[in-house]
Order: sequence, then C-alpha cells, then structure tokens
Amino acid sequence: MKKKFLLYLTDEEVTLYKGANEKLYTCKENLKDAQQQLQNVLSNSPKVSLRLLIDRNHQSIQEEKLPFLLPWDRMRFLSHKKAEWQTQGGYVGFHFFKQKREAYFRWVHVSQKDSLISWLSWVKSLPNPSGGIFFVPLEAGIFLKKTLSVSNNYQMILYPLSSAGMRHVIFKGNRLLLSRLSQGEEDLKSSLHFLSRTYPDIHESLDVLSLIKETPSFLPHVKILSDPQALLSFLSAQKRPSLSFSQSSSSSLLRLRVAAGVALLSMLFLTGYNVYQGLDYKRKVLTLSPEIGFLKDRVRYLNSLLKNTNVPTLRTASEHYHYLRARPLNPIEAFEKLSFLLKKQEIHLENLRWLHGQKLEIMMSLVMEDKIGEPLATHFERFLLACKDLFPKSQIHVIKGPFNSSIREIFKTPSPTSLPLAQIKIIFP
Amino acid sequence: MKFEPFLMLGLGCGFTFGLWVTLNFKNVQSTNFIKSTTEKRALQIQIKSLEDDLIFLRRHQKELEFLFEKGWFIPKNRLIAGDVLEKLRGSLNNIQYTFEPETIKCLEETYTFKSTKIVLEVRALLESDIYAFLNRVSDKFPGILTPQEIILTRGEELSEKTLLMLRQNKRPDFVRGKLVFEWFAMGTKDHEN
Repeated sequence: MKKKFLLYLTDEEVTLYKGANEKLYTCKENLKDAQQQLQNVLSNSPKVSLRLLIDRNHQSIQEEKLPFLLPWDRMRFLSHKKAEWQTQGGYVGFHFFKQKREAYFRWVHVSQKDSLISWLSWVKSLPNPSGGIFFVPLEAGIFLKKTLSVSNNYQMILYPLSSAGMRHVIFKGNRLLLSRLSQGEEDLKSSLHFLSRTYPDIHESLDVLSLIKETPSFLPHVKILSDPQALLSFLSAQKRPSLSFSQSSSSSLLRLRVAAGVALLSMLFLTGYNVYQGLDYKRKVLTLSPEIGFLKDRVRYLNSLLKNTNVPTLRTASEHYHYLRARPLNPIEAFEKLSFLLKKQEIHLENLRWLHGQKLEIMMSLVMEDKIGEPLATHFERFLLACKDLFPKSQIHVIKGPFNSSIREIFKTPSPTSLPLAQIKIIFP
Repeated sequence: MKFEPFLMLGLGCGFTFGLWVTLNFKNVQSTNFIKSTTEKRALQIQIKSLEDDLIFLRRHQKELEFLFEKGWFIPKNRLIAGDVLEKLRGSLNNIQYTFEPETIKCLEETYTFKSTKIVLEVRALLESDIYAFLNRVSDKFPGILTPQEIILTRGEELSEKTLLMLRQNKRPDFVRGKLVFEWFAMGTKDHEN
C-alpha cells in the first residue's frame, strides 16, 4: 500500500509528511511561498493521494444540543442551517449524533473569508487524488476511544504540536468540550477550571491519554503512549474522516438536487407501483388459467353432446310450430260436440259452414221435428240451452227460428210436411 | 463532488429504464389479464348457451321428434300425402283432393312458412263419417294441417230411390262436404317463390 501525503496545517506551521513518520517539508513563515514549494514536492508523485489534517486554534468545530424534533422539523432546521451557510459560502460538514438520549448537531463551517479557504482551494487544484480533509481534534476523539475504552466519562488527550507546544482536547462521551493549545500546567488547570463550572465532576472522572513525555503530574488516571507520532499514524490509517466536508452548494444547486432526488424517488415509487401492479395482474392471470382450462373442457364436452345438431334451426322450428298452434283455428272438436248434441236432440243438420277467419264461427241450418204434445218453441229453447251448456263462453245468435209465426206467415198445427228450418250462428271466444 | 452529476445521470437513466421496463411489464400483464378475463367471460357465455341448447333439446325432444315425423323441416312427398288421404278415407263414399302449388306465407313479418292448400271434396252417408275422417286426417296426415274452410250440406233427399239403395246396402250421398286445409311446413325468408 502506497504511503499517503499528509499535509498538517496549524495556525503557524505547515508540515508535509509521507506516511506518518517521514517528514518532507515544514514551513512556518510565508505560507504563500509554501504552497509553491509544496506543489513542487507533490508534483513528483502526482498519483499519491494527499490528506489534509487541520489542527487550528480557531474553534471551527461547533456543537449544538437539539430539542426533540420530528423528522420534518429536523429537515427544516437543517435547511435553515444550510441557507445560513450558503450566504457565507465556503466549505461545510455536519452530522447529528445522540448521547444519553439527547440529540446533538455538530458542524464545521469554513466561510469564504477564512484563511483556510486558500489551502482548501489549493489542495483541490492539485493533480493528486484527495485523501480527505480531517479535523485533528475531532479525530482525536476516535483515537481516544480506541486507545482507552468507550466511555461516557470525561476523556482528555494531550498531544504535541511541533512548534507551539501541545494541544489538549477534552471529550465527554462523543461530545467535544474543549480543544486548546497549552504551554504548560497552568493552561491545563485553567481549562479544567473553566469546564468545572459547567461540569463540576470533571476532576473525579477524567481519563487522560498523553502522547507527550512530560505529562503534568496533577492529572489523575493518565495513560502515557511512548510514541508521539501515534496519533499521526492513526490519522494516516483512517479510511474516511468522521465528518464529511464539502463545498457549500448554492441554493439553486440545492433545489436542483432536491428536484432530482424527488424525481428519482418518484420514479422509484412508480417503478415499485408498476411492479406491484404487474405482479398482481400476473397472480390474477395465474388464478384464472385453471378456471379457463376447466371451462374449455366443459365447452368441449357440451359440444360433443351437441355434435351434428343445429339447435338454432330446431329452436326456430319449434317457435314456428308453437305460433301456428296458438292460432285458434281448429273447429273439429266443436263439430264433434255439436254432432253429438244434434243426435241427442233429434235435430237434423241441413248445412254447416265454417270459414277461416279471426274468430271461430259456425253457421248452420237445421230442421227440427215437430213433436206432438210439445211446443216447437220449447224444443228449440231446450236445444239453445243445451248449446249454451256445451259452449259456455260462446255467443249463440238465432238467425232464423223454426216457428213460422209472424203475421205474414202461415202458422198451422200440426206442421206441414216440410219440417221447420232454423238457422243459428255460434261464435266461439 | 465531481461524480455527482454522472451519478445522478446514471441513476436517472437507470431509473428511467427500470420504469420503462416495469411499465412494459405491467402493460403486458394487464393485457394478459384482460385477455384472460374476456376469454373466461366468453367461455361462460358459450357454456350458458350450450347448456340452454341442451335443456331445450331435452325439454322439446318429443315435440321435435313429432315435427321430424310430420315433415316440418322437409315436407313429405305429395304422392305419399295423397296415398295417405286415400287410406284415411274410411267410410266416406267418395273423396277428391286437390293440392295447390306451394307458396311462402309470412305471418306477422317474423314467421315464414311453406304453405300448400289442399281442397278435399267428400261425400258420405252421415256427417259423423266426415267428422271421423277429419279426426283421422288431423292425427295421421304426414304434415301439419290447419283447417281453412269446412262446409257441409245436405245432399240427396230421402226418396224412394235412396231408400232402395239403403235396402241394397248401398250408401247414398246424404252429406256433401268441402274441406279446405293448409298444409304448413317451416320456411325461410330467402325461400324463392
């Protein structure tokens, strides 16, 4: 594995390392010239990545305790923060973290006016691939946890800075409480005193990791590492910084990103919806398939039963036949009944006429025997009553009576040789 | 980030392609579903129709056999019909029949029949002979007949001649009848006259 270039930036000094141990260049005074000289060094190995380690006095790492926020409130909070950073431009990195059920927001904002910007721009302009931007005090917290133990107590790391003495960084769990340069014991004491006003128990539960040779004696629970470059080695071996640091994007770009994100999410949603619907249709088709198979078998079976049978023709034939039968045309039954009646009543049929029409009508002429002792009218009336009994719903019209009793006729008893002729019409319903 | 636009573009292309593929998948499955549903419905209708046909055949089996026998679909030959009339004459003294040319008759613009007018002139001793003949014809004629006109008249008067004939076991023509029938068979509208 190739060793990375590590560019260690403090307020007063710039140092270039190759790996953790090989110091290539140091500059303390004219930092602009330093960039030119560093470029010359780095251009010799343009494929080796360059990692920027920032360790300044300026408290650029900030933390804020957050109240309980719902996700959308958190988004709103973040959008306000971003808007604030955008007005100042520069670079920004942030993340949320939790400690003891309380939420914190940590961020680093290097504004456009900050002197660090020139270094960040310069590093960006180099052909060497970027190895990331690391804030040393922040990464020191991770180093502390690895070296000591994961704890929610107070932890302090002391590490040397090449010219300006040493830096002490104090954490409480994940929270960074203080990062300060110190020249001696007094500075350390004043830092602890300062913190003790907010955290009165700091003296009792403070674990210290020291990378310097002359560790102040008043500090309790001190673990001393013999290798002063241990932190640098750790920073060199880190894969990525704990805080992702990038250029603060403009609002239009942000809107574009949001729009792109929404569009992608919408497409993802639509894709999912289409897949769901497609699978649902597929499931339904699979359910329908056996039903269709069964229905096809049934159709085949029924067709085999109806083989060579022209059912529509048969239906038409039946329908035609029933229509014909429904027409009240057949008088034969009426004739038979009438024949029996005439025989019984001793009446002789002279003629009978039935013509096909809308109604069933029988016109008949008949002769009646004039019986001695019985008036002809009584005989005729009995016949008519019998007719009415036989055809109860029919109308019987007497066209001509057998009496010859009108004033213009000869009325004589007993009757002459020719029998009296009557004519009636029976209209069936 | 230098790669962000490319990443977004790649994701956009990928998602668009994915969307197109899934949309196509959904459309194909939807078409399959509609096709299956339509097929199922068509099969159900077909089965219903076939079952109705079967029920119709079972219910009307005797009637259809009767219609086949009576020549409702294809009328019987006139020679056969005439022969049957001769056989059915029974106690009639005389029978003469005329089969008029077949015509197509439309009733209520829906029902079309082949119609043949048959005119029978009969002579008998008694009118009951004619009624019996009418009954036989309506039962056994090889076709569907509907009466159109029935006229019975007194023929010869009772006289010495007729009495003599009766004594000689001859049957005088006391009753004469004109019987007009229509012989119907099923027709089609496009049948040529």
